[in-house]
Amino acid sequence: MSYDKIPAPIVNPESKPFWDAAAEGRFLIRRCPACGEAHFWPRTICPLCHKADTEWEESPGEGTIYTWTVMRKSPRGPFALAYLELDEGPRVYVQFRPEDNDDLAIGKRAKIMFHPVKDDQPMMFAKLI
Amino acid sequence: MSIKGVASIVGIYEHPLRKAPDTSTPQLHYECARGALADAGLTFEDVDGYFCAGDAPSVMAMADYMGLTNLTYFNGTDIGGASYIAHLNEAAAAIAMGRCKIVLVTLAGRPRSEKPAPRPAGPEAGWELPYGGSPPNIYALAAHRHMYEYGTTSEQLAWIKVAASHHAQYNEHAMLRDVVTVEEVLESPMIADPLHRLDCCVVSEGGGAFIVTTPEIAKSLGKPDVRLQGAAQAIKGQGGGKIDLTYSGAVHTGPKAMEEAGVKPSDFKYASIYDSFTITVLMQLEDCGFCEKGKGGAFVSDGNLISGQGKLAFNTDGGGLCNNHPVNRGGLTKVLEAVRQLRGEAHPAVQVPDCHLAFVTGIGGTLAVRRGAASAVLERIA
Repeated sequence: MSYDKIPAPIVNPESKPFWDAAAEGRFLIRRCPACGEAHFWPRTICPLCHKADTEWEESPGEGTIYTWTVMRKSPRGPFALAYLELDEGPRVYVQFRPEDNDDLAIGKRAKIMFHPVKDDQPMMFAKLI
Repeated sequence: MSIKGVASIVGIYEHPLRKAPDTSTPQLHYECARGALADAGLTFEDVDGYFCAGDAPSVMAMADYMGLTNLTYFNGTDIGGASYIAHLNEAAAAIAMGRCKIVLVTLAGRPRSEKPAPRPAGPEAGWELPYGGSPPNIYALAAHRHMYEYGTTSEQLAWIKVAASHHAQYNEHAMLRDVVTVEEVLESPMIADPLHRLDCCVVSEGGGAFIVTTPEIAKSLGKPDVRLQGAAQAIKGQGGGKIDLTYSGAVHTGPKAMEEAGVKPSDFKYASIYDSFTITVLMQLEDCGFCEKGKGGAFVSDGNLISGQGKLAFNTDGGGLCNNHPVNRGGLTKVLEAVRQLRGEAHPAVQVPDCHLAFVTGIGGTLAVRRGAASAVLERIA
């Protein structure tokens, strides 16, 4: 798998602050002031309680692998998808960096990272820690 | 108010092609419609309700192409491959409200011959699309978690393919007619851990159609009365990150459809279970109550899904795993085989004796991200 074959993330007005922070290597989630829950991917109105507009919060992006798979048949070459359960709660659908393909297991600790993809745009990945 | 008993399936047709390089997609829809209407003894002029999903260009385009000029009701609900099971529910509701009397539902497409039209990007696209997730690896995420939580094994999943292959050997149109063993499934190449190539359905072209109408019209046509006795639909998403991959949306629809029909899982000797992958079947069996949550692996083992051998015959046409999964959407063919079983028209080698009750369930979209679910109970009325 090579990063420059991965298309750039699609950015809209609601997600722009996330990708602006990503360009600085910072990982943002949103939390609801009404129910106190964090969620992912970010939505302006809380998808869990619907009661309030949510607020950006910087996260270390650390958590444990909830599930994983390595796609063996792909023109991109083998690549790993997973759900990373953040310490804040939400399970994040994410691709692991290729170096970790052979070492993934449910329950292992991992962390969100950013890496440039097509057009030098930063895209979110995960790595074992 | 209930849709119990208000609608019957009177016409079915499955396109014999599995590869259609010389036929257009609208033409396939039209051929399927013609086949189902002929089976029912009806004409295109009789159709006043038309339903199709994302495999069709659009309701308007298809209605115009097929010359459907008497439509008073139409619907384009798209929950992926399970759309056509939801259409049963919606057609019955429309018939109950007097909006239409004769509903045509079609599915068709050519994923081997032409590139599918790109879908409009949803709000999740920014975070998900670049990764190139596709059905095999996304369903694999669910399979891995199920194994972790419940000890489900690849051998147990393989039994689902084995059962489908036992049925497909009798279907002259099936893409894969060779009976396979558990070992052969496990020895097939790994596609996306833990799913092997033989854990996956076929990619096929063609399609199918069915006709839903009132029981009174069904009687007047002299067709076997295959009555819809219960139906339900639901959507399950990633829930802002509170996602649990060990169950599907069928956890809501299966029990609800059975409750409406006044039946329970143990009443069924036949079920059509959406089978894009082996894990898809296992999870829905659990979700619909055919066995306890987490015990699906034991339930499907040792031929329990093979007609004439096990307790619950499933997908006796060979299903999506071996026969046909047109346009990567297996919901419509699930309805068709249930109707064949209830009419006594399944292949004699796989016909369930005195089959008067059939369960149909499907999930569509992508299992580990967001998907729709739909279930239905069909009964042969003597």
